[in-house]
Amino acid sequence: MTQNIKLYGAIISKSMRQFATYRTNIFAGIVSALFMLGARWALWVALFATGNAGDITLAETMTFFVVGDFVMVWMGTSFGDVIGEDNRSGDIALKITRPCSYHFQLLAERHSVAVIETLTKSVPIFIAAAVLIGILPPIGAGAFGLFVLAVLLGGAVYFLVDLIISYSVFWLTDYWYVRWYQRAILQLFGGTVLPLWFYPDWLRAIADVLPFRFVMFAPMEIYLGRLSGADVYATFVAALFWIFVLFCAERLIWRRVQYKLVVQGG
Amino acid sequence: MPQIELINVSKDYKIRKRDKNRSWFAEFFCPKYTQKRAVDDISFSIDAGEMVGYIGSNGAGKSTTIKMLTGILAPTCGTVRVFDRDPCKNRTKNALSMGVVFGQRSQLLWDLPVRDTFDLFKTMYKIEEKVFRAQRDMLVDMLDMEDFLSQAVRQLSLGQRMRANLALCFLHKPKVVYLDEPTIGLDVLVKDKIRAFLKKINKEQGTTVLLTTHDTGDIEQIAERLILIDHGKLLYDGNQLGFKERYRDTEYTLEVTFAAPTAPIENPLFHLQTSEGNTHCYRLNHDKIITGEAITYAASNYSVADIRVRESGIEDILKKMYDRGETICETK
Amino acid sequence: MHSVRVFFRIVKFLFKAKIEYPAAYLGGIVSQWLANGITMLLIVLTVLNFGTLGGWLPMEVMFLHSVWLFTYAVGSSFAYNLSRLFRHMAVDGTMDEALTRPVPPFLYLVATTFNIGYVSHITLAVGALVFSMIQLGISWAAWQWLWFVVMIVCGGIITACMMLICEMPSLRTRSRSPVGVFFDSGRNFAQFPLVIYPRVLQIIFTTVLPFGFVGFYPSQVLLGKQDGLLPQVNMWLSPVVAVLIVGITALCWRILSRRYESAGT
Repeated sequence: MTQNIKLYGAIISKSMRQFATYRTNIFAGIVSALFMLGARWALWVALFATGNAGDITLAETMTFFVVGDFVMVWMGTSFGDVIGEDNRSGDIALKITRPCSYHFQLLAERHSVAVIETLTKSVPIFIAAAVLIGILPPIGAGAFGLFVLAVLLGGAVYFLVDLIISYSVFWLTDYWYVRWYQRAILQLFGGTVLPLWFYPDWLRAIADVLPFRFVMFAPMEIYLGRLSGADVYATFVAALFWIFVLFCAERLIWRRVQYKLVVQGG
Repeated sequence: MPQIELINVSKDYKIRKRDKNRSWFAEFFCPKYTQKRAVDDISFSIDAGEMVGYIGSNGAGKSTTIKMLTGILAPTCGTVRVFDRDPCKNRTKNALSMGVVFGQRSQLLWDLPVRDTFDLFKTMYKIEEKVFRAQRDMLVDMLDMEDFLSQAVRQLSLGQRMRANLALCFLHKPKVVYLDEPTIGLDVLVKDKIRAFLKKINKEQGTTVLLTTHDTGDIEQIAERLILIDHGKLLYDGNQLGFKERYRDTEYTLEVTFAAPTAPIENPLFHLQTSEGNTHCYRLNHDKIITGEAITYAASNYSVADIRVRESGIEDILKKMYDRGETICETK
Repeated sequence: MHSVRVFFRIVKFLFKAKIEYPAAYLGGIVSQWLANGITMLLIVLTVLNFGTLGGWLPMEVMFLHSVWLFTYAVGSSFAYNLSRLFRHMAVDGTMDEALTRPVPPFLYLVATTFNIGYVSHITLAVGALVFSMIQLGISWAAWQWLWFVVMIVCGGIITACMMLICEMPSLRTRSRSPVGVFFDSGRNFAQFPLVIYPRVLQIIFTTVLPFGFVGFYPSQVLLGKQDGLLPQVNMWLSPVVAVLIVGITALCWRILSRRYESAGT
């Protein structure tokens, strides 16, 4: 366990040092983040100008995206690329035999990128938005605690879903497009691009049944206080249920993958 | 009129000098450079049908010269003429009568059979169908490519890919071919095949071949003429025999195996190099004692089981020259 | 003429290589349909939910977005792989290879890096265009069809050239271009009617980063809309902008390849 924590720390600090040498990337990251914020702001101002937003305010919507971005950078890319490359190059055999689990290595690598993205993307966006646009604070300390808890549960859901989709690379000849499937599904049912509030009823009904909304939408609703009391706990129970189901599915598929790797030699 | 001509050609490279104290902003918008002379006042000319080995240590300026000949780089000063034209200004025109292979860089279409790349080159080099067929079949035959012509390139071995690359470079019957290390990383059999091929096609189609190589086997077997450069300067230009003659080592090595453990030969002309068990290696000087005398001396004074003489080949000469070059550089 | 033949020959072989793995090719295409289709669907749903966007109806926004996707796909087919190759080109010998071919080096590079995968974007964009046009009840005269073709071609050219210009610095720096980000960001702005942005940004997207001419301005002609900066003039300008930007790209390329000749590796 301590070994794992040490390794986790080492991977993250290594990527931090590497990144500090690419200063143009930092510049590019910050510029594109601010551009994106500006585009989003202009778009939603124009939409709210129609006065057809119902009970949602512009501030809520912008807070949804700006704070939600802190969550999204930790999900961000798909494992499909990493696993696909490991499989193609044969590195996966090496990585599986290391003393810590392959999944832990995947997670640490992802987080090492996320730490950097948080600093170059989420933080500048947040500061700019807080100063220029105004961001709503969490509804209360308790709600913020529940928000963090919801983010952790959402992270687990995302991790499992991403793994399940990414395992498909073991049965495919090429893998670059796997992440596009993952992205498309998350965008459509997760409410990450357009909050589920604005969905037509039929699509909202489908999204509510599926687990993708736990990734970012549900935590943000708790943050904004649009979900409270018993509803929060109902959401947690549903998320836990999905984590259980997805975990079983993931283990099952991973067994097949290991069988494929060991017996058939990749 | 020679086909290739270099007159007092020099080439300077600008090298980016990064200063840690300057901000990245300054580095990006006004970077500082230092000059490095890669080719220094070289002149030579090559006639049609010659087979030239262009040799020198890593970073001696070989690739730079080839790039100037192909028109990729313009010389800093001096004149380069290929087919009596400036290769830089007539690059596209010259390309039609020139072939080039850069090391292991593949020009083949990765996912398709070799055959398809041939077809592509037919269009690109404006080769007539009849000429194309004849030349392709001849190349396939000479380089023994029949059995992998229809295989996807990604499935080929390095040697097969190299042969295919070579064939492509000769497909449009170029007048001149530049080969940058054509045998690097290949096994002995493939090397032999390639050398035989180059000799044959040079003879049959009169193609001028200029090849750079580190493989002394390549040089000894195919290059009639040698051009040696080091640190950008021309050191030697002439035929192979003359090269050996001129740089011939006056020293040679005698490897003596004694019948029983013996103390080293006590003679001021015999310089002991190494001893391993009963086998001793001595360095001797031709001017002071000729080979026959040395053998007789050893055999008559000691109980000897075996004697071998090792003369220095091109490899030893080059090794010595490169070594010397490096020390010159250090003292500068 | 010879160059054009070589270009099509190379692209033909690239296509042949792609369909060597039909499953992978199809998998890629479907993934792009899904990803871009869902992005488009969400945009249309958003505007439907609110009624209009800056005075544009949902189906008009869909039309604009499809044009934007179409031109992006056309431009990227030619320029995407090449712009990503710039940073490796001088090191891995691609540039040397291009310079020793009997066709113009730039054409050779564009041909060998042509990306066939954008068929997915184009088919999706055409589908969405047809759908939005039917919904809007649009029927065009011959000159309008011609203008449509001009718009797509010019939009593709502008996209490709912007992409190349923004990435060209990496030919020298050998790492991702710091201005490459302006392309990605600017492009994202252009998928919506420019009128929703502040005036300063509208001016930028009409001049320095001419993404307004990729879809917004020329679409005004076909949708009969007149808003934004100087619509009566700007809606006709995209061919002019395309010619200008081709000139700028050619100039940049010329300067950089001259530099390569004199500097080398």
